[in-house]
Amino acid sequence: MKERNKTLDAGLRGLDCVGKLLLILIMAFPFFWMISTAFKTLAETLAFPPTMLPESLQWVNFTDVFKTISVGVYLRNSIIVCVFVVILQYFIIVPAAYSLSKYEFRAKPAFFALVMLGQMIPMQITFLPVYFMFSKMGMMDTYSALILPFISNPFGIFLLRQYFMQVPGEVIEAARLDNASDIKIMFKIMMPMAKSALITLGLLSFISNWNNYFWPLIMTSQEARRTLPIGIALLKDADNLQRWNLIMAGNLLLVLPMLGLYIVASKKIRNAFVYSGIK
Amino acid sequence: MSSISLRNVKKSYGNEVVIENLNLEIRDGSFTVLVGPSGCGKSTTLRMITGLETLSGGDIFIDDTRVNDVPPGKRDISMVFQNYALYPTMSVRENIEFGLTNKKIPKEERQRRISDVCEIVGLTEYLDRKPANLSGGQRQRVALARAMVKQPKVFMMDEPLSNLDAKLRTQMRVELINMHKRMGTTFVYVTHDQVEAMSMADDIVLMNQGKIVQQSGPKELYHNPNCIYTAQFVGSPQTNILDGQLPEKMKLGFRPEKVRLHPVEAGINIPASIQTKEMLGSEIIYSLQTPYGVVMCKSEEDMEDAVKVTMGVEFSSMYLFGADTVRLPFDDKARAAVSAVFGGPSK
Amino acid sequence: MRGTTALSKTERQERLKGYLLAAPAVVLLFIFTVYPLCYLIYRSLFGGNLITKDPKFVGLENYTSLLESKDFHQVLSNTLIYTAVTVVLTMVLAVVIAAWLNSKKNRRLNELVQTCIFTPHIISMVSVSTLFLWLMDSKNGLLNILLNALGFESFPFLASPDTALFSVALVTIWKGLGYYVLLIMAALQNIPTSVYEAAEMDDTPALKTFFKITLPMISPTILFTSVVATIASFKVFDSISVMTGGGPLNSTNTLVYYIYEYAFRYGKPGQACAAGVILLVFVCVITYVQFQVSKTRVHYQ
Repeated sequence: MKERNKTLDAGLRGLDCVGKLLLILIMAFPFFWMISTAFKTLAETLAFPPTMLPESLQWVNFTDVFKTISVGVYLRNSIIVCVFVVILQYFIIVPAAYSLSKYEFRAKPAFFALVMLGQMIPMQITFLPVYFMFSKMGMMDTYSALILPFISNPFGIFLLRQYFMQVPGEVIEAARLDNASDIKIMFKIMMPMAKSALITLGLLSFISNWNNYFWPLIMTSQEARRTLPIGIALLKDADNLQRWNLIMAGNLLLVLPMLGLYIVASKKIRNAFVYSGIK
Repeated sequence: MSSISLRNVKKSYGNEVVIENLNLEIRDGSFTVLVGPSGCGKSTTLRMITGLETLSGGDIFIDDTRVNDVPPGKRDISMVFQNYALYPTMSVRENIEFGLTNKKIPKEERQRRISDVCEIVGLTEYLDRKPANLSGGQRQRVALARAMVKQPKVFMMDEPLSNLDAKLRTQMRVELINMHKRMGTTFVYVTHDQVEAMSMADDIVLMNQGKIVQQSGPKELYHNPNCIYTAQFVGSPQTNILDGQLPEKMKLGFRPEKVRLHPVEAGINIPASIQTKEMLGSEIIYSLQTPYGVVMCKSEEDMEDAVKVTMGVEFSSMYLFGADTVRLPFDDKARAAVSAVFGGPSK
Repeated sequence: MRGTTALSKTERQERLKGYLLAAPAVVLLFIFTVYPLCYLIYRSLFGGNLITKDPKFVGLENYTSLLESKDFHQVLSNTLIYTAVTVVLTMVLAVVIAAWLNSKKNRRLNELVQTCIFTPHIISMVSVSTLFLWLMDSKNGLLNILLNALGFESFPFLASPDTALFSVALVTIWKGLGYYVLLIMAALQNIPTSVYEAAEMDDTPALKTFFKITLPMISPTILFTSVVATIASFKVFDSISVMTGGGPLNSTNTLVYYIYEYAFRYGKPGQACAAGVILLVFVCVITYVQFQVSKTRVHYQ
């Protein structure tokens, strides 16, 4: 009886293991295929049966990508937008969250409602009016058009407010008794205590802005202000030959920073998304 | 020189009046304890003195200077909070130093003060730790050091010992008394614990429902309560009150420790039966059933298995209260009335 | 008297500080949320094209022409079918996988599965779409080569109007699954072990434990994540834009892509705004439903 249970257990364990390996394969193989294709020659991508690994590494694919689209410009724009959004948002979010968590004023419920509304309404609804507004103001194809709409991150205000509210009132009172100004309390007490939330917000907005395709697609029409996701989409369309090796090489340029970030801080990034999801 | 005085102070939250009209004088250099049940307004009073709570009316003076509009950080007050309220992201040293840097005290002076204070409270080895890595007792010391290092005019404490275990609490009580003696600063201390109040204070302010019931030294408070509330608040078990026998709705009070388990000469003697017996060690607490209700008795005498006893209380240890629960003088007339109702001295 | 005036001064100062700190965020939220919403509704009542200076007021004409348009009917049904397929499949798979990964078997492997399954979520939809375009390619795509090798017939994927929408949904599910698994696992880990111990003492069979204890305890999270997934599906744009451009034969044209095309390709901003208002209504309804349901279900916490 005991023996049979043991074999049954071992069998279940094996089955469980096989299932999980299959799951890993389904999730990871497409990425492997992307990388493998990126290093193949065009002929090799069309070969049947397909080869798993490239016969020799075609680094030339990457230089070809740079020749086909202006990767340098796109990359620069992507970095500028991400860096500015990530930094500037703190200047908006932190005071707003501080105000919502520690001050009393009559319009506070209305302000909070505004933050909730901002969280609820996606940009896929508001983009047309914003487009009209920006084009009327001559702000199309500017960095401002790509940065400003993202720095009042309402989710960030909401999350940080939760954090600030958990700071015990006594700690702030102790600081006031220690003759600390409001600004000093914000910088020296509140922000260090909400450090993990601040990092989380930075990570989340970096990732989402790096990957953003929709907004720059609407707000830019000139090469000079386009970001990398647009560039990769253009690369796909620019090439009627469907040179998949080239397209995947370009794709890799867009994917690698995120993949690298994920490899370095996989736990942290996942936790950040859990925060954002559960609130 | 730092006395505090509150004049006609009012505090209300919306329509809810917490303190109606409070007048309080806190002597310079005293160890004053505000004591009372939770919600009696003692913490609110303390917070109004610190400036963390605004006044709804009246004035507060520190050293004859009106401080109503002075922000908390400029009142030269230190406070130890119940949960210590340490800055969790700063090291012990930074916690202690924070107030000094805000006051723009020069660096050498800061270093000197910090090392002095840490010597006193015994924190020298822990200066670079974060509060999360300290025990409850050590956090308490950081809170004390942070308050002391500012060399304030007034030292405030809001139930600072309530998060400690019993043994540490007794030890800290002694340390606080010593600290007060050494610093000579005015201490204002809030607690709900009468034992803490009695053991540490040289001035007790007993509060109830936003009013001061009695303000006096601990000895006076114990021996000379001015009403039933005070008499019952101090001492354990509570002062016995016999109600319903005396004329004009007067009430008779006496402390359990003054109840004798044998007849007395100058007093009253009542037949009683022992209901329960709690052994405390040096003393025993009896609960006695008498014709006038249950009476508590605290005595060193062990009655073994006896059930029926005669309970005696001397006139000199009785308190007489009027119908409004306020203390009345125990004069000859009162003595005669009590003797008439409860039976006079035994023959 | 002196006391009260001085007091209201400090209180007024506090209030002012509150307003000042909030002001930048309020201004930005106003410009990028409130004003666009108002303008969207306003503009949906006017005709004209992208360059017209003074578009003509047309009342509800944009709405009636939308509702009469066969194309728009298909766009609506595409959006709803896409949403239903994505949300249902994602949630079922996410719950099953989360429960599976939460079991005590092969713990080290679980960690690896979690890492892998979440990876696509932080990758740009543009990358994922191009990658699947390649995998689903009708000539040299790996998926069909695999299917053929296993003895199945080739699947048309994005090439046929019958399968394109489903293929797009498949990509979305593949990309998003890890995120929902992560959220549901977090909920599973919040269930106190004592509940399971009690069930074990009652000799409860494993399946019954799952359906009677686990599932009800994570139902608030399932509800919440379903709403998130639903709204995300309404917003679908990137994958459509990169993979199909709404085709073939309008079969993958969904609401946001339709709005985009009507505004920028056909130059009919009025009609695009009207469609935007319809999307707004969708989002509001879902949010309202979530609000109502979660109000009646909060007794868990």
